[in-house]
Amino acid sequence: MQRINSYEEFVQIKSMIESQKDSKARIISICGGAGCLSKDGSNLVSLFRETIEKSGLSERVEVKLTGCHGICSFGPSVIIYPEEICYLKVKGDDVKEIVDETIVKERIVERLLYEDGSCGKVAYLKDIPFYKKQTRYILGFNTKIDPTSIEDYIAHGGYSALAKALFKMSPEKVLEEVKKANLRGRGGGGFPAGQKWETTRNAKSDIKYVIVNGHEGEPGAYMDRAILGGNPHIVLEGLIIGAYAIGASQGFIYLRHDAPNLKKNIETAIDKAKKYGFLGKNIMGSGFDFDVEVHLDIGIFVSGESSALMRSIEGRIPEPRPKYIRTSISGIFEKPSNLNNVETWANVPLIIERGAEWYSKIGTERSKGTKLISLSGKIKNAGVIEVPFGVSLREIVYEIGGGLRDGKELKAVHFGSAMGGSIPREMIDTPLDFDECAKLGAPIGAGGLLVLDETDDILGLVSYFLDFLSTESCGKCVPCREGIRQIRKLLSKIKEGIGTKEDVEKIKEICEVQRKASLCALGRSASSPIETAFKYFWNEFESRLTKEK
Amino acid sequence: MEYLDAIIERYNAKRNFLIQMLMDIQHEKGYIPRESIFYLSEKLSVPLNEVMRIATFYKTFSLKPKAKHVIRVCSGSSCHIRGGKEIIGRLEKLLGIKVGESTSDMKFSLETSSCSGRCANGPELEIDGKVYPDVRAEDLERILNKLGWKEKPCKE
Repeated sequence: MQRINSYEEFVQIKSMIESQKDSKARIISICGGAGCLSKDGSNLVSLFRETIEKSGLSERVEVKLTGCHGICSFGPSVIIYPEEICYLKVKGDDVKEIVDETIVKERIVERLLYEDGSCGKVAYLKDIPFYKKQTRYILGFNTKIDPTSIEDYIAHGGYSALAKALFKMSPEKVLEEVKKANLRGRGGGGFPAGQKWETTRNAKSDIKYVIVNGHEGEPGAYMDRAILGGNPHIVLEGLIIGAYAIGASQGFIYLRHDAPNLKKNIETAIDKAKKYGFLGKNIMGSGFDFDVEVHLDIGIFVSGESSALMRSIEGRIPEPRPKYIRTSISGIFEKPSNLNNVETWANVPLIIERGAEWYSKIGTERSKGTKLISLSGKIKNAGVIEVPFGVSLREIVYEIGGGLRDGKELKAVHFGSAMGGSIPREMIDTPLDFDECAKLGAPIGAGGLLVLDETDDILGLVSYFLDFLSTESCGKCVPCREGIRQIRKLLSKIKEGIGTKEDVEKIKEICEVQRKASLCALGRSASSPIETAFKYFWNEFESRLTKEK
Repeated sequence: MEYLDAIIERYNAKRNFLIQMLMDIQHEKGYIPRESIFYLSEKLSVPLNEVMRIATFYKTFSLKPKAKHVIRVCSGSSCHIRGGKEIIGRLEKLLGIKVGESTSDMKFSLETSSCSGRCANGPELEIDGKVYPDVRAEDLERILNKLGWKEKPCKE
């Protein structure tokens, strides 16, 4: 590994790495997503390696543990390159047959293929309905690269955007491009990233920080882990480009404490990026200095909130503060700090590489690019997907998600977890769009889509989210801490059949206070699930109210 | 208190590493022993209430010792609607304890965990780090039996 000291050297090393990688090479790519690993996935790697070695094939076959392939319901998934044959629900006992049949005799093992009523057996990844309808600009890397190999990422175009930004573009031009692309924050708010960057860039300070929010505390949202676990370099590259545009010299990556593999992956990535000269002093000889530190949360939802997260990085209790002054101006140690979510950063190399004009052609008028969605609940194909903004929720649930499990009927889809809402099946043709979904009371949030079937109880779900929030609220401000508790009490009265119309009115009143007077977004949107439920599922509340006075 | 001195020294007795120190204690002992809170407060010259505040703020910290086997049921939204709620109820009944408690013989602790991101596996539980995907309520006795659980006459 050689340190890169100029643009020319980068181009040289890139073409050297590319020439060493044969696009027709036999690669066995094993899903290393959390779901697959828990189902024998980690075992598969050593089994494949052993079998390949025993068959004397080590010279021409590479076995790779990659990031999440996305198709979690059918895991563990194994993809054979270069044909991109997709084997699903692979067990240890299948390994020998795959090697003997597919690797040696170039025949397909039919019984491990995807199959459904409409299309029969499908051998290739691109033909499986789950993948066919997706646009995988970010997730596409996941099946192809080993997250611990920086060379894999470089061979697939990695760090080209950084080289372009540092040597062919001024920081102003990079910022301009991100603004023009109208990249909006993927963590929940949908706030324009370029505008945020500009605020931090313009803030007067000797030190500025950039932060990756990889906290991902929303139940049912696991797309950030799919990116960080599958391709940490794409996030790192985006972060370095952002730091260059903003003028930051220090970055932080904030992670969940309960995913030790993730931390190891990222630290390996940072280490390797440093050796190549993509991080540290005088990056690639451009004169730009930037370094990154990894921090862990200790397991509380509110520490994903920007001001709380910054406290936590300072080593203090993660309590949010009022944002009369934005964290973009006064964040970590009172210095201007720009925080974006994992997926937002992962979009940056794409924008710089292909240009804002190309990027802004994807999506809807006000929501550009693609969005990662994690599908969960009563859906057949639970997993992580990537689709352009503008596709309908129907396409997501039925065409990609394969419809509902156990032949049940759809009741509602829930976006935004504890800070979102459920919309009924009649609205399934709504396009995926930050503003359209928010208008309906189901803001996309981080992108966790929970599918409910006819047997699910909306009141049950609402009280689940309230239970969740009541234990996750930091307790600093009264509207959130006490409000959630009181709504819970009143709701359980309704659930028991002893609630009255007055109780409903009281809930609505508390919701309003919460929305207006809470300190942070957690408190302000804690009422969202119940308010949306009142709007679309009022009959379920009404039918349980007591008739007695 | 030797282990505490070692932990404090690891961070040069700097008070801004208090959270890290508590994490190390939790890791080493499985919980935060009462005396460690007093000890840290004294050695780092941090008011006792400040240490208590941190030790009780995070769910990850436990002030009670944990049993030999720690059962953690995923309480994510997807697991919840896919039967996680029933799994918790059944475990509470079988073990005769509530979430957050341990059995009197200190063999089992029952906890819930935040969304593991393995939603396609739900409902799911983790025992001593081993993941049990797609768990059904009727599987639980078998799983517990393997860990040395014996059915006791129900007190109901």
